[in-house]
Amino acid sequence: MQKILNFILLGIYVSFLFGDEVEAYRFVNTVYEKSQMDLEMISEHSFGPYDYISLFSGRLTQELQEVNRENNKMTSIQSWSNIIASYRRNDEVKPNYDAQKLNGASYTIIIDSTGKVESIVGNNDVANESLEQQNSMSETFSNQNYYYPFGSDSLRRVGDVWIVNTDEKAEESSFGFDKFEGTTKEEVTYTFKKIKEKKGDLIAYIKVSQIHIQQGVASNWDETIEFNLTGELKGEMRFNITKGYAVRGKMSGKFYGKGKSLDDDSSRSFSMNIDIKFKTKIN
Amino acid sequence: MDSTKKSNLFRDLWARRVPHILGTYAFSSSGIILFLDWLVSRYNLNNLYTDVLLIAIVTLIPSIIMVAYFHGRPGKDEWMKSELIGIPVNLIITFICIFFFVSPEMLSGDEDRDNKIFQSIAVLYLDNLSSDTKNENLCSAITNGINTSLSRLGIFNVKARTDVLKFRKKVTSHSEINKILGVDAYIEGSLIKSGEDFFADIQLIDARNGNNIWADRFKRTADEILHIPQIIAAEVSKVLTGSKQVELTVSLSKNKENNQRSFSLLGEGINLLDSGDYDKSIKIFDSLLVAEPENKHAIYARGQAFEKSGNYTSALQSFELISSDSTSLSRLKNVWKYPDVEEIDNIDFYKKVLASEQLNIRIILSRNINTNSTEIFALDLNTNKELWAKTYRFTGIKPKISGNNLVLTSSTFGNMEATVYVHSLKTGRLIFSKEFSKRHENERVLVSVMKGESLDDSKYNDRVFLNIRRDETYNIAFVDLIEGKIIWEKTFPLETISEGDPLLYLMNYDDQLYALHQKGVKYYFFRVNSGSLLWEDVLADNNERIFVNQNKIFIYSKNHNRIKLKDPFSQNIIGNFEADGAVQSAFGFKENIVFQTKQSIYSMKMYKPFLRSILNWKAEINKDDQMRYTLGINNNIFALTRSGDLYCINSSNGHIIHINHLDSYDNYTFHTDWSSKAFVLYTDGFLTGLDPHNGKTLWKIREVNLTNPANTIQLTDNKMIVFKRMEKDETLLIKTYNRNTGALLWIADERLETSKPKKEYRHQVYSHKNKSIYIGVNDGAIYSLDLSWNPDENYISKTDLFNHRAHCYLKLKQPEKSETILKQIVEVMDQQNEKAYLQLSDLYLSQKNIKEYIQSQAEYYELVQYDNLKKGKIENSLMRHGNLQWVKNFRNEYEFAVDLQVNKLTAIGRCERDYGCTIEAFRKQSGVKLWEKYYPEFEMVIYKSEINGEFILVGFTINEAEVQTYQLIVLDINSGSIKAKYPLMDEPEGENYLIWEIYHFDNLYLIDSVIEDVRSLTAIDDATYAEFWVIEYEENRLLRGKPTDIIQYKNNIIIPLSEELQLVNLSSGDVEWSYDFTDDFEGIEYLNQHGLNKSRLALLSEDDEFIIINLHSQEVVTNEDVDFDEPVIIKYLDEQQILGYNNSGYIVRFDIRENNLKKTWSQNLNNIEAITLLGGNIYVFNPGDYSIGAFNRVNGEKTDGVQLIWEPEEVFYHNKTLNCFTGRKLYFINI
Repeated sequence: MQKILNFILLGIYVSFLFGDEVEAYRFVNTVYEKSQMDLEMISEHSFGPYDYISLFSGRLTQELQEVNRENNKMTSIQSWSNIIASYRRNDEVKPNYDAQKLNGASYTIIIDSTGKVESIVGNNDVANESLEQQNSMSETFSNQNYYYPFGSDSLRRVGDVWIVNTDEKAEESSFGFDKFEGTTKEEVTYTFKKIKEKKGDLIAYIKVSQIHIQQGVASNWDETIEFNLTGELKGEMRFNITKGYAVRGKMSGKFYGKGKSLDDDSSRSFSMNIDIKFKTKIN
Repeated sequence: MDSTKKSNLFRDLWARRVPHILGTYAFSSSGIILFLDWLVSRYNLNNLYTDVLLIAIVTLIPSIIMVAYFHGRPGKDEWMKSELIGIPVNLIITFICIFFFVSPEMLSGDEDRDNKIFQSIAVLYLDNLSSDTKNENLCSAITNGINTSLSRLGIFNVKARTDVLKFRKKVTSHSEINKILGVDAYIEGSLIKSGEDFFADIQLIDARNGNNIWADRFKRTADEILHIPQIIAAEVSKVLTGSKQVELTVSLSKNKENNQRSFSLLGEGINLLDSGDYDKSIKIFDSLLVAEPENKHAIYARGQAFEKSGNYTSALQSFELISSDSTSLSRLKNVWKYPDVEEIDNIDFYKKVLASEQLNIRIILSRNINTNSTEIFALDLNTNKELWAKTYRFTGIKPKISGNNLVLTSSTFGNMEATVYVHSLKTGRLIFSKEFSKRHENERVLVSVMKGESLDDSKYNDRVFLNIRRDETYNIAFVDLIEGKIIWEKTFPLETISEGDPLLYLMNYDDQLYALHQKGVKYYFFRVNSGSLLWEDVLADNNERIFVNQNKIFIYSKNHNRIKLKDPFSQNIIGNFEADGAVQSAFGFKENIVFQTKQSIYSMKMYKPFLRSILNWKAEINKDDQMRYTLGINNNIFALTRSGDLYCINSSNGHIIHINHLDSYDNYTFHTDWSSKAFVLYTDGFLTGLDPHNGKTLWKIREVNLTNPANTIQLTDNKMIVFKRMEKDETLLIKTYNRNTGALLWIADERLETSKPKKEYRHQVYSHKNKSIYIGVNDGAIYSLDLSWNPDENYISKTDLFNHRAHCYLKLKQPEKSETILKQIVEVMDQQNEKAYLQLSDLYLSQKNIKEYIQSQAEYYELVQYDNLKKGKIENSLMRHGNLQWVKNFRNEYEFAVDLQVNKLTAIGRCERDYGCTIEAFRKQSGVKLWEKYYPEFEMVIYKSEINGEFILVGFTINEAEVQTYQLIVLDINSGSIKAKYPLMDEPEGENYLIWEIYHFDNLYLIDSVIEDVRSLTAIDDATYAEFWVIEYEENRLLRGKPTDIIQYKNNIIIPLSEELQLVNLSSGDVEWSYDFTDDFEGIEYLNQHGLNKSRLALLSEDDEFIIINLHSQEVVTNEDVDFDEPVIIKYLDEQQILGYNNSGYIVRFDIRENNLKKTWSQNLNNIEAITLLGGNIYVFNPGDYSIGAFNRVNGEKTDGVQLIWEPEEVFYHNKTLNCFTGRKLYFINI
């Protein structure tokens, strides 16, 4: 889920556009003083016979603080507002007060010259608390590039399909375990479907398909677990080529994991369906 | 010659019919024994009867032979001398044998029925039997002294002196004392002076039955009489608790005369105080305080005298003099720290406790992430000194203490090979090491220490059994640590059905060591020294279990009721037995095995006795109930049932001693020190003290949010200690309670110095030998905890003192201070303190603070639920002051409630895995239960509602392959019986089936469901429940998460989809038209039947546009932006108005006026969980204070409000009445 969030968050902040030819485009973000992203997310979790659904909607506002001309580092402030969140278990819906506490959470983010996140610091207690609870958040922000949301800045034409492939072997400490030995494979396929002109801006429609496969054996002090995790996400993003930002996007996908203890051969599985939608406004 | 003699003897015996008579005797005796054995098992009688009969039958054989020899031949009936002597002698021998073989324990099977824990005690005033009235003062002083001494023990709830005043100089029966004071025992006695000596006659009486438990006469001189209270308290403690002699120290001045004088003055002052002569008593106390200004008893009594005389300011001054708490010193002492403080951020400590109770050694393991190394430290718990330390230059080590050794195992990872290292716990010396190499590059080798029974027995200290797991097989290796080598290694295949730990049970037989090994369904028996396999066997399936006890194998199944007891050495089946159902669990208890089915508990011998049943006893529970959990403590077996009954069963004879109807048992954990003294249940945020002799509730206190209760609740050093980490200030709150009364002994708010950030900080509590406690923090530091509670002879119960202070503050018109003190009592010091609760209630009522009054009553209600009398009193007061009409308490958590409006019922239900669901229906107004039904058709309910006047449920069952089978059931609302069933689907593994909504349109039910990415609309007939049609769509969860209903439009339905509205014919399921709205608006945020007016449909778009669509032309006729100011959840929308709210407390209404949408009103309330529209009102539920406010729907003004009593999960509104469901309660309130 972090990766998906990341995928969406990256699109809105910074943008450049260099159109070399009439029919070829680069997808590069432009830096804006202020942008607002309205996010909606629904995730359905299943552990054995127990299911629950989490619903979340909120606004993430980003305000540029400064761009350091010497090292090209960018500092911006992100803050959450307008959050409405609830849980649904079977047919019962309850407010999710924990998620609603995020209202007002503010973070200072520093992005280096290459577009990677250098640091995230909470500006208030709510933000610090959320960072503590979600220690992988920094990883989320740092995984993706702020300037190049769809891989490199190569020229793309309508009908182009390009794949960003990651095949890595993680051998040492990972996933909170003492030891991990296995592989993580990730493949993102982008298809440049069409381009439309809306209110004078060129909007690129990009189909996104992402596959994530992780398998291996992990061990800590007391247990050794063999696990497989697969995830598949599909969706569409609309990128404003004229202004250099992701206008809106929609992703849905499923994650399925199964773990087996090599100590007592017991096994457990979980699955998660997720749908995310966002739209961005530039001020 | 000899053969002739033998032949003659036999002929003679035959002629005397001895064989005939003996045969008849043997035959009839067997019959009687078998019949008696049947009676014993049928009527749960004591096995002793059959044992006695068998001994008698065997030992009486000489008498039978004699009688047969002398009287067997017809015609000769004279009694011989040898008979007259022999038969009585034989009878005496028989009695001796019975006496010798039948142990007193067997005879005293029922003794626990009368045993109990003595919680509370009262000390009645001693009677002065001397003619000298001055001795009255001594009597009062001694009484006060006994009271103080007993309180100092911290074992009993001791009644205050003022409470027993009413019994002074009165002849009172034990039942009266029991009734009025509510104590378990009381002390009474007298003092008489004879010459220079005083004689004190003291009795301890059981208040339940008036039995004299203990009595003694003390002869003391005038100097020595001061010590009597301490001696009596110690004796009473010894008698009532069975504990060793208690020493109560007294610090007296060297001047004996002064001591006597003070003692006498205190008594005199108390006498005057009790007789109402307050001024004189104050003078006496003043004179005493001149000599002994620190005498707290005098200060306290003086304060009481001021209080009684109405001088509350002076009373408070006295009370506050002795209220200060000087014990602010930390109770924690750091006994070990990780040596390299600089490296601490890189260290990950092993979280579990590794300790040897036998050697008093604790092992600390740490992993350094930077240097990729593992460090081991051994700590001597006697001296708290480090014994030894070792470092390994790799990580991935799994530690285990096995006997006197520490075994470290590791597995293959990367280039690392699997290894084992064994160190002596005492010295750290490496005793054994070995590498288990990979056979091929990709092979994974995992090494671990075998788990099982008897492996930690000190007899086997020099042996370790290893499990070496490879890809296809696993080996068990027997390591002899004396020889320092692997004696043998056996290979076993990894079977398909192999779930479960590989287990090893050691058995000693004829000085030979054997082992039974089980992995999955296979089990193997082999000789340990040679490793030779003696036999192997396979369980029928993975539902069969084996359990080893007393060198026998007990085989049972969770699927059928047949049980086998097998002798592994002879491979013979010792006994077969059929229980009344499949066995749920089994455990060894003393020399027997105890096992439970859903209905019964059995105790079985581990051998088959001659002519008798292998079964000791069987105890059955209520037929409508089911067994859930059993455990054995001391001499009793405790069984918790599904309905929350705790059965206490005598383990000797199976008699049910007591059934405790627990008022709460959700997410229970039982805690015991396995003695007859401590037994605590933690459930639902409450700690309940239980009497291990009979299972009765002793006390109940609130301790919410205790995570990992097995670790945070400790029964050590005769106390109950509770550890709670306080998130706010990162301190560790330690509370120590009197385990008999639940009263707080001391509380410590400790700050553990740790370098770990807040989110990473963890601590682990370790009780060493039930005597001392250590706390380990995950920065490696270990602290010892001082558990002592030794108040001196000046001890005054803090609770009593606080009660007086609160009373004085109230009288001085300082209610805030009084409230603070009372809250401190009921929240911290003594949660069962009825007096403080009553004071607090009176205080709130006098202030007309109904909200706080209700809250305090509701809190106390939870603590006294086990006491019907107290519970009833609180219900009455809540009826008077809290609008309560009735309340139903449920002993476990109910998951859901359904408002059955048509029949004015509220149904509640709960489901359990492997069991089913139970639903009960109550009449709203009266609370009368109309029906209760059990539905094995469901193990979980995912949808429930009243639709079209019918009670509809959707749920599933789970089969052995974990497949969930869903079905819809229609219930008769008046009886709960099933009217119809409609099968829905079997959920494939890894997929989720969900019901979003069920609608009723005309004559059909429409089920709106989803499985993975396919949304199905299934129409079924509402009379026959036959399927009409099914339509499938691609699922859009984001849309479905919003309140976008399917609505009826004439004979059609309108289905909101991602980008279109679809009109579907209700009868046929055919799509009549589709309207793609994406050119007009982006998506739908809210759509409800109220939005339809003739052919105009009003809705709200995702971009907060108020949209009206003409359904004839499928055109948008109105599109107006709505500025809600804040994000809102839409509660209502039609062509005329919009009503929205959010959880932060914002509520807003818009109206269409002259074709313009305008905000009519808005309110900013504190907090809103949900709103309900009823009549002209909006009912707003505030979860912060459980209040409900009624607001006028037209102008938003508040019209009414009501304070709820217990936090509800659901509130059902109906004509100014509310049905509130909390999960544990259903209650009814009049607004």
